[in-house]
Amino acid sequence: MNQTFAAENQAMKKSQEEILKLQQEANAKAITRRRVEKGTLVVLNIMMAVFILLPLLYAVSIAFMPSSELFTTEINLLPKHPTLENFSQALVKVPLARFVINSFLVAGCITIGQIISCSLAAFSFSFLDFKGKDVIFMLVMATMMIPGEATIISNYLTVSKLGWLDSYHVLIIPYLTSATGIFLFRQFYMTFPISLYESAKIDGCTNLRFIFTILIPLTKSGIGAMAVYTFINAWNMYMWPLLVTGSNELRTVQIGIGMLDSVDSQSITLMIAGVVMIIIPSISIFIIGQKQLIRGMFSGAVKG
Amino acid sequence: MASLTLRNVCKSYPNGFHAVKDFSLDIQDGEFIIFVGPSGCGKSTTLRMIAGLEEISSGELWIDDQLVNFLEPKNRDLSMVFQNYALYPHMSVYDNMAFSLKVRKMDKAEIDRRVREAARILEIEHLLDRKPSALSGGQKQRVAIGSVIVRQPKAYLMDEPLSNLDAKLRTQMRVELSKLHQRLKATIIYVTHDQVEAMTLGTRIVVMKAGVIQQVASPSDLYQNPVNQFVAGFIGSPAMNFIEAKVERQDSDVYLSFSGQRIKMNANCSRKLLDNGYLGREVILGIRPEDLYDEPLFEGNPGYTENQICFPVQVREMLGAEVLLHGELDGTTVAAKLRPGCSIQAGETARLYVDISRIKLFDIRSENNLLYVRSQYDENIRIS
Repeated sequence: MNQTFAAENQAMKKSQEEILKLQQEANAKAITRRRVEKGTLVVLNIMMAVFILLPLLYAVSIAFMPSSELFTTEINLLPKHPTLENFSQALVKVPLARFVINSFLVAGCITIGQIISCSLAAFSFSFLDFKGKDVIFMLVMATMMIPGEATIISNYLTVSKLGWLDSYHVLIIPYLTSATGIFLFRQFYMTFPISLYESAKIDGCTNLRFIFTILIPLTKSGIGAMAVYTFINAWNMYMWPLLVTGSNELRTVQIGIGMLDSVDSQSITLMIAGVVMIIIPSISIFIIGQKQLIRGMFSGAVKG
Repeated sequence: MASLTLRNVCKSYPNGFHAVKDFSLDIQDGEFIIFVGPSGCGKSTTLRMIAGLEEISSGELWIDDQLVNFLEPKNRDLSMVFQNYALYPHMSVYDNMAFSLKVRKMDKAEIDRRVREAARILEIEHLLDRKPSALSGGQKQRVAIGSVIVRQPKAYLMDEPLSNLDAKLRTQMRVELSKLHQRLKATIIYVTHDQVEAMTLGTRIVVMKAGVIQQVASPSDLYQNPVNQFVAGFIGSPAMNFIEAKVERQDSDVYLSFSGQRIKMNANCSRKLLDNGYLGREVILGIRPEDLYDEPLFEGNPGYTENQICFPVQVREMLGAEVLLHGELDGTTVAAKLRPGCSIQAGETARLYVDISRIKLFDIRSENNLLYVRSQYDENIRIS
């Protein structure tokens, strides 16, 4: 009897060891497979990133090249004799710092203005009940269908009649509100629980107090997204500032870069150095605000 | 606290839909009034009209002696608890509760005193620093109630405040609300579709259907003396059994016959049926599931031995304290609530005794209760 038990026990032990070994082998295989998969994905991602960022990276590289290096028949991806000359030249040839300040001022004012005006308009479109609400909203939306270029001449004539040409307010005032902004804010507010508004109303809260103490703190991500989007758009404005400003004191960076080109048509390196410099603020705004931007873009897409 | 009067209040929408029709009701100071009815019956709309969140299309709303139809919500001095609590997520529990007082520019010390007192009553003192997201459903509900009681308004409006809670918590909060009402002696208007909440909380219940008040009565009145088939079917769980039956006469006795069975009416029912000319016509017989017995246990009901109904049992539900039998009689479902020792099983035929003194009879067309006894609140009801 005992012998059979012992034999059975041994067989069981052996089979357990075998199972353990098989399990370990399977685990090791799974880990290797996962590592290979992950590694491949990382390599692919890096390749894609390099491919997509190539123009930008090449621009940064050119900014550090002496212009003699650029105009050769060979492919010069990296500068052989890196120099900061282009940057200093760009800053000397045109008042780039002034342009950057102008752009910051204009883009900042437009961003603040749009956030205030668009959020107030969107509040009335989503929370208030008044006659003709839908028609007015449709009209606002309809303005999105008219391209900016179509109205640029009439706008120019208007501002010139007002005597606003070549001033800060001509750069800011026409852009203090936008249909896209109103639409975006309205979409954020549509997902806002109406019972909070009703509760606040019964609590004795006025509409303005509701906006500033409840609505704005609770829709920060939407406002952040809107701020980043508006700032970058305003920073990149070209046509309108080119048309309505004439003096160096009021030029924005985008036009300033154009001036680099016209001063000396040969110095592409100079211009690229300028581009690299002025791209920094918009990239940093994006990096700072990207979390808000993405959260804002997808808010309401899924429950949560 | 205050009394409220609604006179012929109507709500209609631009698309022609009438949500509330000719709603008239006097709500006394300190009453716990329940608006109950199925979804879409206009109970929430009526509450929102009282709160000022919806415009009153026609009619008058008086709070004490003031006509408030055109008064802004904030000036009506009412407060409301919402179904989804409506707590401000970025504010702490303390700030949530203090918000309405801060808006009214009340003295800080007084705000603090009131918030702490409300927190003490609701046992949420230890939660005052937390954000709503860190609270459980029951705690959120307490905070929501706390933020309305700090204001000490003229009346409290509650729109299905317990419907987001689980069954156990709901029972617990129901008791709390009842206690709170006794303590505050407040006028409360409470909307629910849950008849258990309505029956347990209300001093008076307003049953609504399709925007029209069906009956206004105390819970026990509503249960024992429903004005029509709708109210009888809505109040009580499981719902009252309705069986189409023909009124017949044999010698001096009146019987109701249905699907080969018949039950003998008592003197009161017989007189009502004969006096109103129902002999030979069809009526609806209403029997509550709890008025059916598997043994002739009840007393004072002459002739009970012959008053039996039979139906095949399809499902037997053992609920612990009682047994529910579900079956079918002539295509209509029948339910019976019996004592737990009942031996009738699914698949068998149940032969149950009917407590004739508690049956209801309804006109087949108008659906009105033929045995209805008029009460003091009846001026509010439109009996068609």
